Amino acid sequence: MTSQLYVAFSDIMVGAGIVAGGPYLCAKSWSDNTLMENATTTCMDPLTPSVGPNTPSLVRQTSSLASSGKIGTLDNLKNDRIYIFSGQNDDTVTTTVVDQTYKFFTSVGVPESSIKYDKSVDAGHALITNSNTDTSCSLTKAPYINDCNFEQSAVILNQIYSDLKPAADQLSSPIIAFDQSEFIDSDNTSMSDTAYAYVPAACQNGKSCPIHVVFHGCKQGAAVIGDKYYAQTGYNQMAEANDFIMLYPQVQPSNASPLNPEGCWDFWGYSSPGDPDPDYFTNNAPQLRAVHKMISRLAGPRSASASLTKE
Amino acid sequence: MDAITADAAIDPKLSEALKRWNDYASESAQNVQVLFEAITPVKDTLQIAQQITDSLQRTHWTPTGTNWVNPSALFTAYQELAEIQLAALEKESDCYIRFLTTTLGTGKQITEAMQGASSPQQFLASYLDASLNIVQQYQDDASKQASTLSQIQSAYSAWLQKTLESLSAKTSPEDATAP
Repeated sequence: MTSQLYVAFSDIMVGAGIVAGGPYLCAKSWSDNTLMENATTTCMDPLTPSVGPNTPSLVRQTSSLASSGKIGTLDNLKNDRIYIFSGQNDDTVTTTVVDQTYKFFTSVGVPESSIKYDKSVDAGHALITNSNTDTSCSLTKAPYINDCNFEQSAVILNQIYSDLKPAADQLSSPIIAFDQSEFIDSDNTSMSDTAYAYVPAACQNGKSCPIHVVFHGCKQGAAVIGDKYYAQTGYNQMAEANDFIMLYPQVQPSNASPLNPEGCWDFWGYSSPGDPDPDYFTNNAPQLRAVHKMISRLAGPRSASASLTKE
Repeated sequence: MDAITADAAIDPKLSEALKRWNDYASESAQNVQVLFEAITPVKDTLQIAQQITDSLQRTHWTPTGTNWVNPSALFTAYQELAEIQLAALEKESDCYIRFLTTTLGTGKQITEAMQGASSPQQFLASYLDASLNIVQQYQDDASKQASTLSQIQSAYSAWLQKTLESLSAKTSPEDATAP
């Protein structure tokens, strides 16, 4: 979902952090497969690299969308900074797939020097922290937050913004729980009624602060793991030290209409059930519209950036 | 003689084993519902038809415009097909080994579970627990097999599309004049 928000609304973005995620439009890689088939095979664990994400086709499709105004112009991406991560022990979304995320961004004009692609860590499929209460680094196990001795939230933000202060020890404000349903105008988004944000005291007192959107991965929403993601992954401490606003939109599992049993963000079109040509990737997509409205509500700051943990 | 009925005490282990089976049945019913929701043949057919149409328009593909004899493209296609077939065989073999391991372990699991039981109810509880574990293992194996089949089918579809696109790609002047 990070790639989707970032590419669709690149006019307000300055960068992105993509952890264990495939390229933008990945589910549209191969026409002879349905979007769901591509999403669950091609975009996660393809049988061989040659039948992984079809990056040349995805780039062509992206260019076409940009030309028709359905997403931001690709020139917006060229001055941005991107972080990409793939765990060596990740069998859920394999490095073969994440390699294509890197290739996608270089193909659309992001300089290689602006991308930090880390695939050196023997990590499972997870967001990485430096907390020994989290899961062992190389495992792939709920809640998919692993201790690999570094705080990935800080690394992502430092890649996008550079020269940030270290994370604060204490937070100046409580985490805000707000009514997310106010921003949702579609019936099948699988989005929760409540989402979360962290706004440091300085930002509440009138300072113009950048907004960082943090997307949880599958089975990591508050409905499944409580506050583990939005309160215990280090983002709020970085926000406090550097005067950022953190936004944590939420989705939840759904077994019928929409079909989203794992509580994932929509990267194959479930938010338009029954539509053989669903829009989940343009600036008019149901979930992206909702998140954009949340950003606009928090706006006032000069820039925004997006980060995703996993898909 | 009258039959005397009395409230029979249920061993806690048996009660727990029955609860596990009940929970498993509920979860299975939910999974079946999810599976039925995922089967959308009409929508899938329309989706693929639309995608193929869009793809043909984007690439201006025509059968007559395709160079069916393109040595380098054919070589690459055969190479990739061989890789897919080898990978598919390996995955299928893994699935077979998984099933075999589960089957070979069933007798031992039940025997070990029954040891230490000291009453008919505890024997029954142990048997129910062990058999539920076996059923869940088989279910995991079947789930993995289904996932593997999906992966293989997706790979062959992708290979076919990729091969057709590469054969219809316009050759460069260098290729045209290569011996």
